[in-house]
Amino acid sequence: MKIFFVITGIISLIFLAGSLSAYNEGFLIKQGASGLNNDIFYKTFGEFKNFLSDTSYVEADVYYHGGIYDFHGNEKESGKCIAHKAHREKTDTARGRNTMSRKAKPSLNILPAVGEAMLITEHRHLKGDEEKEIIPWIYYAIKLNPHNETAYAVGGFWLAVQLKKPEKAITLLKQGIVNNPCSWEIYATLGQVYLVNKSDYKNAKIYLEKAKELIDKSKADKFDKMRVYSFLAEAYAKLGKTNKALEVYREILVFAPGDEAIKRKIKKLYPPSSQKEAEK
Amino acid sequence: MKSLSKIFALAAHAFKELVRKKDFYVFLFLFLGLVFFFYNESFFGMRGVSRYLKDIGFSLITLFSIIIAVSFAAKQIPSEIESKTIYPLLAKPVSRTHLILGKFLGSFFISGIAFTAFYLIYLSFIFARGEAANAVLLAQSYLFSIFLLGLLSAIAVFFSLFFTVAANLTVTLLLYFFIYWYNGILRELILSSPKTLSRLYGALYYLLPHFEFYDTRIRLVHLWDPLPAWVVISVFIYTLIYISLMIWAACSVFKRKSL
Repeated sequence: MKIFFVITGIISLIFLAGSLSAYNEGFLIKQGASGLNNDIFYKTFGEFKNFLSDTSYVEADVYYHGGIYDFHGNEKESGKCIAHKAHREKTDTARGRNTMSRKAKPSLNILPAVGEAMLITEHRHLKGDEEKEIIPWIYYAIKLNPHNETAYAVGGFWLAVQLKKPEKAITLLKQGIVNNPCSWEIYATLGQVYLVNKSDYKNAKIYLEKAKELIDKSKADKFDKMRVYSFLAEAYAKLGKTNKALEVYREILVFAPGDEAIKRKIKKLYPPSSQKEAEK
Repeated sequence: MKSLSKIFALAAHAFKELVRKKDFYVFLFLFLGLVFFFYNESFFGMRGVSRYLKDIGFSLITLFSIIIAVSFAAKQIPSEIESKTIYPLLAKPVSRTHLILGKFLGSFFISGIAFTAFYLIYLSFIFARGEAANAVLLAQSYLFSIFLLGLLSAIAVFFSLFFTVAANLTVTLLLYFFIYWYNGILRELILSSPKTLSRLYGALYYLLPHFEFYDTRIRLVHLWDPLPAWVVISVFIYTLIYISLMIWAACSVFKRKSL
C-alpha cells in the first residue's frame, strides 16, 4: 500500500514542480532573463529530460503518420523506425511479397496471422484541421527540453504555415530564441514566418540576417544554407534592396553552382538588358 | 453447482477487498488528477486539440488496471498462507482447485470493475473534449483490455505459488512490458535463425503470452478501422486457452504444495 502512496506522492510532486517551473520561467522571461537555469524539471531529471523531449518530438511525427512509426526510412534516427521497417517486412512475408526463404514460414502460422491482422500497414497523413493534433507533442518536447531547437523550429513552422497561426508561431519562436540564442534554425523559421506569413519584410530581414550569420559558423549542409540564403535574398528583394538580394543569390551559386532556380531569380531581378546597360 | 457457488463466494470475498482497501481509490484519484491536468492543458492557445487526451488517458487506465490486476492476484494466496487463514478455509469443503479458481476470478473481477470505472470516466472526458471515436472500436478496446486483465490475473496467480508478492509483481510486470515492447524481436529471430534455433524460438513464441494482441491504442486514438470479427474471436479463444492452461498449471502445483 505504501508504495502506491509513494508513487502518487512522486507524481504529484512532479506535476507541482512542473507548474511552479512554468510560472517561474514565464516570470523570468517577462523580466528579460532566461528561466532555463532555474527550471525545476531540468534540475530534477537532467539529461533524461532530453530523452523524454526527443521521444515527445518523435511522437509528433508518429501522430502525423496516423500513429505509425517512421515512414521516412531513416533507420539511424530512431529504433522505432527500424521496428516499423521490421513490421512492414513481416507483413510482406505474410502476403508472400518477401524474398524470405520458404523454410522459415511454416514455423509461424496461427498466432502470427492474428498478429499481422493487428498491425496497421497503411500509410496516411493527418489532413486539414487534424494537423493540429501534433502540437501537444511539440509543446511537451519544448517544455521538457527548452534546448530542443528543432522542436521550436518545427513547432513554429506548423503553427504558422500549416495551421495559419503566425502570431502564435512568432511568440513561440521568440521564446525559443531566448532559450537558444545561437540557433540559426529558430532565427531562420522566425524570419520565414515574417516573410511568408506576415509580409513583414523589415523584421524578416533582421532575423534572416542573424540566421545567415549563425549558419555560416555552423556545420549545416548546403540545402539548409540555401533555404536561409534564399529567404534572405527574397526579403532584400521585397524591400527594394536589389543589389543585396543579388549578392546573396550569387553567394548561393558558390556552393550550389548549377542551381537553375537561383539563376532564374537572378535573371528576374537583374535582366540581361540591365546588365548590358550597366556594362556600358 | 455447489462448486460454482464456492468459487463465487471466494471471488466475492476478493471483491470486498477492492472496496475495503485503498489501492483502487489511490489510482482513481491519481487518474482523475492526471486526466484533469491534461484536459486543461493549453498548447500555444490552440483550440480543439484532443487526440493526445485520448492517447494518454487510455495508456493511463490500461497501466493502472494492469497494476491493480497483478498486485491483487499476486497477494491472494501468499496473504492467505502468511496470515494462516488458509487452514480454516481448506478445512471447510473447499478444495485447493476451488481456492485457485476463486482467487483468480476475484482478481479478474476486481481489475475488470476497476477498468470499467476508469473507462467510463475516460469516455466522459474524451466526449466532453469533443473527440471522435468509433463505437465498435471503443467496444473492442474495452473487451481486449478485459481479456488482458484476465490473462495477467491468471499469470500472477500462477506465479504467486512460487514467488513472494513483491517478486511476483516485478516478474509479471517485467514479463508484460518486455513482451509488449520487444515481441517483434522474437519473430525476427524465428525468421532469420538457422533451423534448430528457429524451432527453439518458435517454441518460445507459442509459449510466451502475446500481450501485444490486446493493444488497440493506436487504432482507437488515430481512428483506424475496427478489427475484423475473426480477430476478436481468435483473441478471445487464445485468451481462454491461455488462462485455462495457467489455472490448470496453478491447480496442479498447488495440489502438490505442502502448506
